[in-house]
Amino acid sequence: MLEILAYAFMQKALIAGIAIGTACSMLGLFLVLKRYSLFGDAISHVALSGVAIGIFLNIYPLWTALITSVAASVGITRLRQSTRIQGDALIAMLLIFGVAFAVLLISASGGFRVDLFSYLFGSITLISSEDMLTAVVVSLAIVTVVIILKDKFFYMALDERQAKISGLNTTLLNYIFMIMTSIIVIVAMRLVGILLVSSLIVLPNIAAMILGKGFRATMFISLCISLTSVVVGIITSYYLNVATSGMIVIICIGIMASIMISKHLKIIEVSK
Amino acid sequence: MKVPILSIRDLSVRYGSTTILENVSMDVEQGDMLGILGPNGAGKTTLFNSILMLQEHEGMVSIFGYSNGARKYVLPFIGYLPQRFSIDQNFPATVEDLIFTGLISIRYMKKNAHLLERNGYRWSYDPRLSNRERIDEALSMVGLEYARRKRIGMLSGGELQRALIAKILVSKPLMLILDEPFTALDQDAQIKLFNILKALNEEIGITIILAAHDLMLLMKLAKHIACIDKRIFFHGSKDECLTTDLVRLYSEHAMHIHMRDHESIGNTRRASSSTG
Repeated sequence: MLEILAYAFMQKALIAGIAIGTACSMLGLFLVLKRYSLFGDAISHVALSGVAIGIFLNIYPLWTALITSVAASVGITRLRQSTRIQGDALIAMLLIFGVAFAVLLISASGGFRVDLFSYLFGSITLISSEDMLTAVVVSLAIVTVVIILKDKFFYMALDERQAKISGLNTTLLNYIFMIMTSIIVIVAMRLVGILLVSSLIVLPNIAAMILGKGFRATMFISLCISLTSVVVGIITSYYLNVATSGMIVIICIGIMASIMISKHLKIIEVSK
Repeated sequence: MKVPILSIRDLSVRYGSTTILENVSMDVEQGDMLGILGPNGAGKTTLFNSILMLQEHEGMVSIFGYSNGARKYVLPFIGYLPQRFSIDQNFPATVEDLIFTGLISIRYMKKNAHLLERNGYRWSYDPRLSNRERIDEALSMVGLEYARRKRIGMLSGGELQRALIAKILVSKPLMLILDEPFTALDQDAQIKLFNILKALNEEIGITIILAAHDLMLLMKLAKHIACIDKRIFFHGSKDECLTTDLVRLYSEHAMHIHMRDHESIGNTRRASSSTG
């Protein structure tokens, strides 16, 4: 039935997609809970600057994107601790700066080129074996760290000051978390592109939270939604001959909408 | 003699030219129930934040005999209930999840329990209990056994307050700092919380410091009362509190603070007009 699974490019896309989808949904839960939903977006837009720097200097753009994103996430964490600017305002600043700087550099390096579009919109079905391997290794590493630190991250999302009093090194944990997020954003860029990367981080978690379960159950449901969207999205986009990134996001939104409608029509029971 | 569980000397907090707290000094002995009374903006929360190392300050604060930077290691032995804890309805945490976060500090406490013992304090941690049993015990202490699997966003104000106290109690702290725990609770919830705090203090011997606006309530609950408005203008036992003319003390204090602020505003004005 699914003869397309025999294609090597499809296998690579699915493996990379599952790996990235897992890491994104697990990290994303804490971002949503910290009210940092748009952080992934901000980081990906800064990554656009990084890509532009790479194109401008003729270096492999993913490396420059990674460096600028990690630098930006460290910067934003520092600013949040040392200034009184609100988190969402900081994210907006970062996002705008990322695009503005990218546009400047891109125009200076001779205008928009085709390869830029693969960064903007993703190209999962075109990834190489090395890209797939990178995605799997990075995602595995991030998932491992999240599993080890999940209770601490959860405590910090609930109340960072209390977590600090309880003896957690909140500063260090914040840095670890933000750096992991920027790394996964860069890796996920290959899958869904800069413009849609935060969808994988945010949407499955918002959908899972509607169901009103406890922390672990929500994490698990979000993971299921994320993986379903990625797998179904990749396969249907092939048959319909449409952009994979758009398809993944639309399916995720579809799942979210059906949860909301079933909740409204009381088809599913939502825990109180 | 045992060192006081909390000792503060000349604690001051200033933001620029604004003084929030000035030369606050006090000792709290183990087993005390100290009520801190003061109007809004008197610096009660700032005082707590300073004790808990969440706020930069001048002067000395010592907990279990460990002062300033060193108190970081014994901080987890204090349970803190902040003044406002708002939570989204959708926040994916059950009461059990919330209380579980209280267990996270146990690792740090195990490592540093010997510091307490050195100064004569004992952490009543029972290593034989499982996490589940610990959570059960904390829930029964606040009477929330029925709400174990309820989401915290769905609790009433009183239930959430008790769940937060269970979360603190699960790690067996020796001292609680509660910032206006009674505010925004209805009568029934207030009575429940009142009885819980009284039992924790009298039966288990936990030292409690709590801030409140309501003198009547504090008089019934507390053993000692401290009145604060930037400075401490009264600190004594409940009986002393009854025989002291607090109103007179407060009005003198308020007058003093007002005069001084007035003077300093005058000085600033003079200074600015002379430079301008």
